[in-house]
Amino acid sequence: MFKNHPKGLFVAFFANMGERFSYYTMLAIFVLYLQAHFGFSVGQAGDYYGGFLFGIYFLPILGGIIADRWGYGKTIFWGIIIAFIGKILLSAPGFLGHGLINMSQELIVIILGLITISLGTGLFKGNLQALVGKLYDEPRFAPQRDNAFNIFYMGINIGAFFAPFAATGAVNWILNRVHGFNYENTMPHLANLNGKASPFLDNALNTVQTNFSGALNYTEKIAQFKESMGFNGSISDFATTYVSELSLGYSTAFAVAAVAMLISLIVFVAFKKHYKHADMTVKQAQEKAAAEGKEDTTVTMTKQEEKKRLTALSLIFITVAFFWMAFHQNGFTLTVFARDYTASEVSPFTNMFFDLRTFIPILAAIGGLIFLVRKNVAAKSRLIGGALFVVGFAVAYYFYTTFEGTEAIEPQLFQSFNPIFIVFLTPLIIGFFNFLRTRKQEPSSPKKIGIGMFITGLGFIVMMIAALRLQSMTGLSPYWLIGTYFTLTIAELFLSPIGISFVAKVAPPRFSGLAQGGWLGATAIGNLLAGLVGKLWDVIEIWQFFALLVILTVLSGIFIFSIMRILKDATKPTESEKTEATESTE
Amino acid sequence: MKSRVLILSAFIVSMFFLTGCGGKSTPIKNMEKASANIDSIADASENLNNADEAFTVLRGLTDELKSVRDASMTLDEKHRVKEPVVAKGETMEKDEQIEQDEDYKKDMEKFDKITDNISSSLKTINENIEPYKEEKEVKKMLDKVETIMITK
Repeated sequence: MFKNHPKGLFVAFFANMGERFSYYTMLAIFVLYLQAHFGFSVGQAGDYYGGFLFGIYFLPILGGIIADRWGYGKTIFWGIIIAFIGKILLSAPGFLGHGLINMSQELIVIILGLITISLGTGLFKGNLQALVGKLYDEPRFAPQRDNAFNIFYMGINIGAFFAPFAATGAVNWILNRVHGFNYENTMPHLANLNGKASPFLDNALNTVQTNFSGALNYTEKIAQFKESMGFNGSISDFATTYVSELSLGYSTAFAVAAVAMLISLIVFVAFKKHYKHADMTVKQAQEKAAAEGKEDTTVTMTKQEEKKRLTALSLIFITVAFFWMAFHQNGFTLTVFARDYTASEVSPFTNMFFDLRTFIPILAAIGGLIFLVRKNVAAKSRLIGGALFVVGFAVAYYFYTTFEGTEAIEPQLFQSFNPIFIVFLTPLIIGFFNFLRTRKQEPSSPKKIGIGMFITGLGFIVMMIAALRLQSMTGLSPYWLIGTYFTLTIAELFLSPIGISFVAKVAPPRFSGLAQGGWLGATAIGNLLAGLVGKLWDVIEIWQFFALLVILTVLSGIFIFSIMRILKDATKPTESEKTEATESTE
Repeated sequence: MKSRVLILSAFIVSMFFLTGCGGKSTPIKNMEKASANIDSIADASENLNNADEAFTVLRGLTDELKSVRDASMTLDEKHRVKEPVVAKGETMEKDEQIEQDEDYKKDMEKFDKITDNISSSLKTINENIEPYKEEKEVKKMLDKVETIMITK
């Protein structure tokens, strides 16, 4: 899987992993921070979050335009530096606090931080993808381009997978360090209510209390928490101290995100030699060839060829937006489905898939088993596989025996299946494509994207059937959702890394950065559509909602196949590419 | 080719319209809607046959009470005196006041009427689920009902 790739791929892999770890660490707690520290409502925090995400996904278009003129490596370098400064700005209020600056000034610092991070990410994200694509412009590496982006994509997901754990760890450490607090998700909300006159909410609360005698008001609930955390002081003191410590915890997590950016920077700068040869715009390559008195070998295209390719890319972007619309229901309606309609308690066996202490060893054991039984594997690898198999199952079994009769599961835990599945399915998908390639049956990149769309539809058919079975009070089995996440992850692997690879392959050389920015722009439109479609959740029946997603994704798949000729035409090498390939073979 | 792009564009535009055609909602309207739904839930609770049905009733009630909570908080926010926040931590210690103008009184009058109606529905529901309150799943959902107003 890792053979026959340029070393530059692994530099990009680790630089990207660090940046994505940093980004998702920050993102995991960002809305919670705004609510806890500034007392924002969900709606207010959502406005900041939405604006930030808009910048994150649309600024790569600007970043692409800059890099296509200025150079990819240089733009990526400044992107990391700027995003690092942004994350320092985000963490600053927590450490500068205690009267040095007031709340309004703190909010200004946070907004500046968000703008800076968006700009830095805009300069970084799409251009790193463009740089990876350029590494595979060399004919000897070109056949590995799709696999390379699958590996690159795995780096994103390893970073994303560990990020929430880092954020949670930092927050819990600060909460626990002085006062021995533990995390209570309703405390910021309660503390915020505690000091405010709220006649309407009081009235509504009173209505519930009159009829349900067990209902507590917010002061009583804070008193309960104060008692359980052993705090000596008034309720008001407890509320203030708790929120202050929690805010500091969030700021610490932002600082962790900033440190991760530094690691990404070190990797990118220290191993520059491995990608330097590919880090050139068309103009820079032509100037270099002229200065060295060599023949200009850069791929040039006529305006007509460029137009044809840009049209093909635009069609892909429009269609792929529908994939992201459906896929990003994972953080939205699928989580609501998990919360409201899926069993909240599971057996010890099922809990093994929700607990990292058992799930990761199980996956490691399965990986080990594959190495153990595969043909043509070196004895050393087979030995490591055997050890992984035994140790993995032993560790999983040990923790399994510590589980109680039934275990509670949180709805958001379902989201962690996607990055785990990505990491473990990527080698299998790459192996599958390699297998097909040896039989000359590997589908083209556009076909893979189309197939990915149909697989997405399949994932939502599973949900549609689950929704039709919603009768029992005990909630549906979590395996319905796990099955859907599994199917959607396979679809994602057919579509997202392959799509990035397709963009890298088809983009006219002088628009490489812009084209990658366009891909991220399509993701942004998909996110926007995800929110809009999500509004139908409360309007139509649940099975109808999932049926709508099936229809939209299948129609998108049909559309891709209906324009296959245009897409295939766009991927045909130009005359100058053919010449270059022939010369390198000679 | 052009027709394909046209169809796709029309598809996207229609989705924007489809999702945006819900009409403008206000907190009082949301309260009225929630109150009507709670009324229907109370009617449905009249003929409970088992714990399953009691659970379903409470689950529906939790969803509606969430709407009541959100509408109440929006109304509080609307009428709260907006004072500049001066220093860190002060927001929680300061008693932010409510501006008791005509608009506030009008809103509160409507709100009182709606909550009176909700209260009578809640009373009915509470009585009807009484035989099933000790069932494990029902008990858990009842806990949710009792804490929904103060959780977010």
